[in-house]
Amino acid sequence: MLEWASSIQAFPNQNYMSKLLLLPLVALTFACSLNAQETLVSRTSTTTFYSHAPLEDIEAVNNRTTAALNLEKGEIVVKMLIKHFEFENALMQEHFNENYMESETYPSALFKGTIVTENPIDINVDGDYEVEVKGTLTIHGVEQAHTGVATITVADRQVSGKTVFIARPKDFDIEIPTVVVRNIAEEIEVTTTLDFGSK
Amino acid sequence: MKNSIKIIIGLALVGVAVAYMLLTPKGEINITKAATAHELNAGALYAAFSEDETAANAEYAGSVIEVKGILTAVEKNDTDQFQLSLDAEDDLGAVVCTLTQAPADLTNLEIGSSVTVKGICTGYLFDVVIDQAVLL
Repeated sequence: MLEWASSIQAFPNQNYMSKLLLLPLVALTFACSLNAQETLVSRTSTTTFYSHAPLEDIEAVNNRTTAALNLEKGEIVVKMLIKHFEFENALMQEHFNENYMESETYPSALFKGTIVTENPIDINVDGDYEVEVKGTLTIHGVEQAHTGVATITVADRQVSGKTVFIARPKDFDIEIPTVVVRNIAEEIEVTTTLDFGSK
Repeated sequence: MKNSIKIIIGLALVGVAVAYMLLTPKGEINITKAATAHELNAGALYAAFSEDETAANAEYAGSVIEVKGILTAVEKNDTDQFQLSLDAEDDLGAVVCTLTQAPADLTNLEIGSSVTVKGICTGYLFDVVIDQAVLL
Protein backbone atom coordinates (compact mmCIF):
# COMPACT_ATOMS: atom_id res chain seq x y z
CA MET A 1 0.00 0.00 0.00
CA LEU A 2 1.35 3.49 0.26
CA GLU A 3 4.11 6.78 1.35
CA TRP A 4 2.25 9.82 1.88
CA ALA A 5 4.76 11.14 4.32
CA SER A 6 5.91 13.99 2.13
CA SER A 7 2.40 15.23 1.41
CA ILE A 8 0.75 14.47 4.69
CA GLN A 9 1.20 18.04 5.87
CA ALA A 10 -0.96 19.12 3.00
CA PHE A 11 -3.69 16.97 4.47
CA PRO A 12 -3.33 17.60 8.17
CA ASN A 13 -5.95 15.14 9.26
CA GLN A 14 -7.48 12.03 7.87
CA ASN A 15 -11.03 13.38 8.10
CA TYR A 16 -10.16 16.19 5.76
CA MET A 17 -8.60 13.70 3.40
CA SER A 18 -11.60 11.44 3.51
CA LYS A 19 -13.92 14.33 2.81
CA LEU A 20 -11.70 15.63 0.05
CA LEU A 21 -11.85 12.30 -1.66
CA LEU A 22 -15.56 11.97 -1.05
CA LEU A 23 -16.61 15.34 -2.41
CA PRO A 24 -16.81 14.09 -6.00
CA LEU A 25 -18.84 11.13 -4.74
CA VAL A 26 -21.88 13.32 -4.33
CA ALA A 27 -21.74 14.02 -8.04
CA LEU A 28 -20.91 10.39 -8.75
CA THR A 29 -24.15 9.31 -7.16
CA PHE A 30 -26.02 10.89 -10.04
CA ALA A 31 -23.54 10.16 -12.77
CA CYS A 32 -24.36 7.73 -15.50
CA SER A 33 -20.88 6.92 -16.68
CA LEU A 34 -17.59 6.37 -14.96
CA ASN A 35 -14.49 8.35 -15.74
CA ALA A 36 -11.06 8.53 -14.24
CA GLN A 37 -11.73 11.84 -12.48
CA GLU A 38 -14.32 10.36 -10.19
CA THR A 39 -13.57 9.14 -6.73
CA LEU A 40 -14.59 5.55 -6.32
CA VAL A 41 -15.92 4.55 -2.95
CA SER A 42 -16.42 1.15 -1.36
CA ARG A 43 -17.99 0.35 1.98
CA THR A 44 -17.95 -3.43 1.54
CA SER A 45 -14.36 -4.29 0.75
CA THR A 46 -12.51 -7.05 2.58
CA THR A 47 -9.38 -7.27 4.67
CA THR A 48 -8.10 -10.56 6.05
CA PHE A 49 -5.09 -11.36 8.13
CA TYR A 50 -3.35 -14.64 8.60
CA SER A 51 -0.96 -15.60 11.36
CA HIS A 52 1.02 -18.82 11.03
CA ALA A 53 2.72 -19.80 14.29
CA PRO A 54 4.13 -23.04 15.68
CA LEU A 55 1.10 -23.79 17.86
CA GLU A 56 -1.76 -22.51 15.74
CA ASP A 57 -2.87 -20.60 12.67
CA ILE A 58 -5.15 -17.63 13.16
CA GLU A 59 -7.27 -15.96 10.54
CA ALA A 60 -9.73 -13.09 10.74
CA VAL A 61 -11.89 -11.28 8.21
CA ASN A 62 -13.21 -7.73 8.04
CA ASN A 63 -15.96 -7.42 5.42
CA ARG A 64 -16.76 -3.80 6.18
CA THR A 65 -13.50 -2.28 5.00
CA THR A 66 -14.02 1.10 3.36
CA ALA A 67 -11.95 2.70 0.64
CA ALA A 68 -11.83 5.76 -1.58
CA LEU A 69 -9.79 5.76 -4.78
CA ASN A 70 -9.18 8.55 -7.25
CA LEU A 71 -7.44 7.12 -10.30
CA GLU A 72 -6.65 10.46 -11.90
CA LYS A 73 -4.95 11.86 -8.81
CA GLY A 74 -3.59 8.47 -7.83
CA GLU A 75 -4.87 8.89 -4.29
CA ILE A 76 -6.20 6.13 -2.12
CA VAL A 77 -7.54 5.84 1.40
CA VAL A 78 -8.42 2.52 3.03
CA LYS A 79 -9.94 2.43 6.48
CA MET A 80 -11.49 -0.22 8.68
CA LEU A 81 -12.69 -0.69 12.22
CA ILE A 82 -10.74 -3.19 14.29
CA LYS A 83 -13.88 -4.52 15.94
CA HIS A 84 -15.19 -5.56 12.53
CA PHE A 85 -12.59 -8.33 12.27
CA GLU A 86 -14.38 -11.61 12.81
CA PHE A 87 -12.67 -14.76 14.10
CA GLU A 88 -13.96 -18.31 14.22
CA ASN A 89 -13.07 -18.36 17.91
CA ALA A 90 -15.02 -15.74 19.91
CA LEU A 91 -12.53 -15.81 22.77
CA MET A 92 -9.68 -15.15 20.36
CA GLN A 93 -11.63 -12.21 18.90
CA GLU A 94 -12.13 -10.82 22.38
CA HIS A 95 -8.43 -11.12 23.24
CA PHE A 96 -7.52 -9.55 19.90
CA ASN A 97 -9.64 -6.49 20.64
CA GLU A 98 -8.99 -6.10 24.35
CA ASN A 99 -5.44 -7.31 24.89
CA TYR A 100 -3.56 -6.68 21.65
CA MET A 101 -5.28 -4.07 19.47
CA GLU A 102 -6.94 -2.12 22.30
CA SER A 103 -9.71 -1.39 19.85
CA GLU A 104 -11.66 0.95 22.11
CA THR A 105 -8.62 3.21 22.35
CA TYR A 106 -7.53 2.72 18.73
CA PRO A 107 -10.78 1.84 16.92
CA SER A 108 -9.55 1.98 13.33
CA ALA A 109 -6.70 1.10 11.01
CA LEU A 110 -5.95 3.47 8.17
CA PHE A 111 -3.86 3.53 5.06
CA LYS A 112 -3.62 6.65 2.96
CA GLY A 113 -1.28 7.24 0.12
CA THR A 114 -0.66 7.34 -3.57
CA ILE A 115 -0.50 4.94 -6.46
CA VAL A 116 2.72 5.04 -8.44
CA THR A 117 2.69 3.54 -11.90
CA GLU A 118 4.44 4.16 -15.20
CA ASN A 119 1.36 3.01 -17.08
CA PRO A 120 -1.65 5.12 -16.12
CA ILE A 121 -4.76 3.15 -15.34
CA ASP A 122 -7.27 3.54 -18.15
CA ILE A 123 -10.83 2.95 -17.06
CA ASN A 124 -11.68 2.14 -20.69
CA VAL A 125 -9.06 -0.57 -21.10
CA ASP A 126 -9.70 -3.85 -19.32
CA GLY A 127 -6.74 -5.46 -17.65
CA ASP A 128 -4.64 -5.95 -14.57
CA TYR A 129 -2.45 -2.97 -13.70
CA GLU A 130 0.48 -3.72 -11.42
CA VAL A 131 1.17 -0.63 -9.33
CA GLU A 132 3.29 0.48 -6.44
CA VAL A 133 1.54 2.02 -3.49
CA LYS A 134 3.25 4.37 -1.09
CA GLY A 135 1.87 6.01 1.98
CA THR A 136 1.26 5.83 5.69
CA LEU A 137 -0.20 2.88 7.51
CA THR A 138 -1.69 3.60 10.92
CA ILE A 139 -2.43 0.68 13.21
CA HIS A 140 -2.82 0.76 17.00
CA GLY A 141 -2.26 4.52 16.87
CA VAL A 142 1.22 4.09 15.35
CA GLU A 143 2.03 5.54 11.93
CA GLN A 144 4.49 3.71 9.71
CA ALA A 145 5.61 4.54 6.19
CA HIS A 146 4.52 1.74 3.92
CA THR A 147 5.43 0.78 0.39
CA GLY A 148 3.98 -2.22 -1.36
CA VAL A 149 2.61 -3.56 -4.58
CA ALA A 150 -0.98 -3.89 -5.63
CA THR A 151 -2.99 -5.01 -8.58
CA ILE A 152 -5.74 -2.74 -9.90
CA THR A 153 -8.14 -4.59 -12.15
CA VAL A 154 -10.43 -2.94 -14.67
CA ALA A 155 -13.19 -5.03 -16.15
CA ASP A 156 -16.17 -3.56 -17.96
CA ARG A 157 -15.40 -0.21 -16.36
CA GLN A 158 -15.63 -1.79 -12.92
CA VAL A 159 -12.57 -1.29 -10.74
CA SER A 160 -11.22 -3.62 -8.08
CA GLY A 161 -7.89 -3.95 -6.36
CA LYS A 162 -5.83 -6.28 -4.25
CA THR A 163 -2.72 -6.00 -2.16
CA VAL A 164 -0.91 -8.42 0.12
CA PHE A 165 1.68 -7.27 2.61
CA ILE A 166 3.36 -8.23 5.85
CA ALA A 167 2.68 -6.36 9.08
CA ARG A 168 4.78 -6.92 12.19
CA PRO A 169 2.95 -6.36 15.51
CA LYS A 170 6.07 -4.98 17.18
CA ASP A 171 6.32 -2.24 14.51
CA PHE A 172 2.98 -0.94 15.76
CA ASP A 173 3.72 -1.27 19.47
CA ILE A 174 1.47 -4.30 19.77
CA GLU A 175 2.84 -6.37 22.60
CA ILE A 176 2.52 -10.13 22.41
CA PRO A 177 2.81 -11.69 25.89
CA THR A 178 5.52 -14.32 26.23
CA VAL A 179 2.95 -16.95 27.20
CA VAL A 180 1.35 -16.80 23.72
CA VAL A 181 4.45 -16.04 21.70
CA ARG A 182 4.26 -19.46 20.05
CA ASN A 183 0.59 -18.86 19.17
CA ILE A 184 0.98 -15.58 17.29
CA ALA A 185 3.33 -15.02 14.37
CA GLU A 186 5.89 -12.20 14.33
CA GLU A 187 4.86 -11.49 10.76
CA ILE A 188 1.16 -11.24 9.90
CA GLU A 189 0.06 -11.57 6.29
CA VAL A 190 -2.56 -8.95 5.47
CA THR A 191 -4.68 -9.11 2.32
CA THR A 192 -6.96 -6.28 1.28
CA THR A 193 -9.36 -6.73 -1.58
CA LEU A 194 -11.14 -3.61 -2.75
CA ASP A 195 -14.37 -3.83 -4.68
CA PHE A 196 -15.65 -0.61 -6.17
CA GLY A 197 -18.26 -2.40 -8.22
CA SER A 198 -20.97 -2.38 -5.62
CA LYS A 199 -22.42 0.32 -3.40
CA MET B 1 -12.45 -34.57 56.11
CA LYS B 2 -9.05 -33.19 56.93
CA ASN B 3 -8.56 -29.45 56.67
CA SER B 4 -5.77 -29.88 54.12
CA ILE B 5 -8.07 -31.79 51.80
CA LYS B 6 -10.74 -29.12 52.17
CA ILE B 7 -8.17 -26.46 51.27
CA ILE B 8 -7.02 -28.41 48.23
CA ILE B 9 -10.59 -28.90 47.05
CA GLY B 10 -11.31 -25.22 47.66
CA LEU B 11 -8.26 -24.12 45.68
CA ALA B 12 -9.17 -26.51 42.88
CA LEU B 13 -12.67 -25.04 42.69
CA VAL B 14 -11.26 -21.51 42.62
CA GLY B 15 -8.84 -22.62 39.90
CA VAL B 16 -11.66 -24.08 37.83
CA ALA B 17 -13.71 -20.89 38.28
CA VAL B 18 -10.78 -18.67 37.24
CA ALA B 19 -10.03 -20.90 34.23
CA TYR B 20 -13.69 -20.78 33.22
CA MET B 21 -13.70 -16.99 33.43
CA LEU B 22 -10.51 -16.70 31.39
CA LEU B 23 -11.53 -19.20 28.74
CA THR B 24 -15.14 -18.15 28.25
CA PRO B 25 -15.80 -15.17 25.99
CA LYS B 26 -17.86 -12.48 27.63
CA GLY B 27 -20.03 -12.22 24.55
CA GLU B 28 -22.19 -9.28 23.58
CA ILE B 29 -23.65 -7.21 26.37
CA ASN B 30 -27.39 -6.80 26.78
CA ILE B 31 -27.77 -3.39 25.20
CA THR B 32 -31.34 -2.90 26.36
CA LYS B 33 -30.32 -3.26 30.00
CA ALA B 34 -26.92 -1.57 29.68
CA ALA B 35 -26.48 1.88 31.19
CA THR B 36 -26.40 4.64 28.61
CA ALA B 37 -23.23 6.71 28.71
CA HIS B 38 -24.26 9.40 26.22
CA GLU B 39 -27.50 10.68 24.69
CA LEU B 40 -27.26 12.95 21.66
CA ASN B 41 -28.63 13.52 18.20
CA ALA B 42 -27.11 12.03 15.06
CA GLY B 43 -25.92 15.38 13.72
CA ALA B 44 -23.99 16.19 16.86
CA LEU B 45 -22.41 12.75 16.98
CA TYR B 46 -21.32 12.89 13.35
CA ALA B 47 -19.99 16.43 13.77
CA ALA B 48 -17.92 15.32 16.75
CA PHE B 49 -16.18 12.63 14.69
CA SER B 50 -15.92 14.74 11.58
CA GLU B 51 -14.24 17.61 13.41
CA ASP B 52 -11.89 15.67 15.68
CA GLU B 53 -11.88 11.91 15.30
CA THR B 54 -9.30 11.33 18.01
CA ALA B 55 -11.25 13.30 20.60
CA ALA B 56 -14.53 11.69 19.55
CA ASN B 57 -13.01 8.23 19.81
CA ALA B 58 -11.88 9.02 23.33
CA GLU B 59 -15.35 10.24 24.20
CA TYR B 60 -17.61 7.75 22.45
CA ALA B 61 -15.78 4.66 21.10
CA GLY B 62 -16.80 1.57 23.01
CA SER B 63 -19.54 3.46 24.86
CA VAL B 64 -23.23 2.63 24.98
CA ILE B 65 -25.00 5.60 23.45
CA GLU B 66 -28.52 6.62 22.50
CA VAL B 67 -28.74 8.47 19.22
CA LYS B 68 -31.81 10.29 17.98
CA GLY B 69 -32.16 11.18 14.34
CA ILE B 70 -34.18 11.18 11.16
CA LEU B 71 -34.27 7.78 9.49
CA THR B 72 -32.93 8.02 5.94
CA ALA B 73 -32.50 4.36 4.97
CA VAL B 74 -33.22 0.81 6.11
CA GLU B 75 -31.02 -1.82 4.50
CA LYS B 76 -29.78 -5.34 5.08
CA ASN B 77 -26.05 -5.92 5.13
CA ASP B 78 -24.19 -8.95 3.79
CA THR B 79 -24.90 -10.89 6.97
CA ASP B 80 -28.63 -10.14 6.83
CA GLN B 81 -28.52 -7.68 9.69
CA PHE B 82 -30.65 -4.58 9.42
CA GLN B 83 -28.83 -1.29 9.17
CA LEU B 84 -30.59 1.96 9.93
CA SER B 85 -29.06 5.15 8.56
CA LEU B 86 -29.73 8.33 10.50
CA ASP B 87 -29.36 11.76 8.95
CA ALA B 88 -26.08 13.26 10.15
CA GLU B 89 -26.89 16.69 8.69
CA ASP B 90 -23.84 16.29 6.45
CA ASP B 91 -23.80 15.37 2.76
CA LEU B 92 -20.81 13.08 3.15
CA GLY B 93 -21.92 10.60 5.76
CA ALA B 94 -24.53 9.28 8.14
CA VAL B 95 -24.83 7.52 11.45
CA VAL B 96 -25.24 3.86 10.54
CA CYS B 97 -26.69 1.58 13.20
CA THR B 98 -26.49 -2.19 12.78
CA LEU B 99 -29.27 -3.94 14.67
CA THR B 100 -28.42 -7.09 16.60
CA GLN B 101 -31.87 -8.48 15.93
CA ALA B 102 -34.46 -7.64 13.31
CA PRO B 103 -37.21 -5.46 14.71
CA ALA B 104 -40.43 -7.37 15.32
CA ASP B 105 -42.32 -4.89 13.22
CA LEU B 106 -40.65 -2.91 10.47
CA THR B 107 -43.86 -1.35 9.27
CA ASN B 108 -43.55 1.41 11.85
CA LEU B 109 -40.20 2.42 10.41
CA GLU B 110 -40.93 5.19 7.99
CA ILE B 111 -38.21 6.98 6.12
CA GLY B 112 -38.19 10.53 7.36
CA SER B 113 -39.48 9.66 10.80
CA SER B 114 -37.58 10.39 13.99
CA VAL B 115 -36.11 7.33 15.70
CA THR B 116 -33.92 6.67 18.70
CA VAL B 117 -31.33 3.89 18.59
CA LYS B 118 -29.25 2.53 21.45
CA GLY B 119 -26.01 0.70 20.75
CA ILE B 120 -22.25 0.67 21.04
CA CYS B 121 -20.32 3.32 19.13
CA THR B 122 -17.63 1.38 17.29
CA GLY B 123 -15.93 4.28 15.52
CA TYR B 124 -15.85 6.34 12.36
CA LEU B 125 -15.39 5.30 8.75
CA PHE B 126 -17.22 7.34 6.13
CA ASP B 127 -20.10 7.08 8.58
CA VAL B 128 -20.22 6.94 12.36
CA VAL B 129 -20.80 3.28 13.15
CA ILE B 130 -23.14 2.04 15.89
CA ASP B 131 -23.12 -1.73 16.40
CA GLN B 132 -25.18 -4.14 18.55
CA ALA B 133 -27.96 -1.62 18.23
CA VAL B 134 -31.58 -1.81 19.34
CA LEU B 135 -34.44 0.43 18.33
CA LEU B 136 -36.01 2.22 21.29
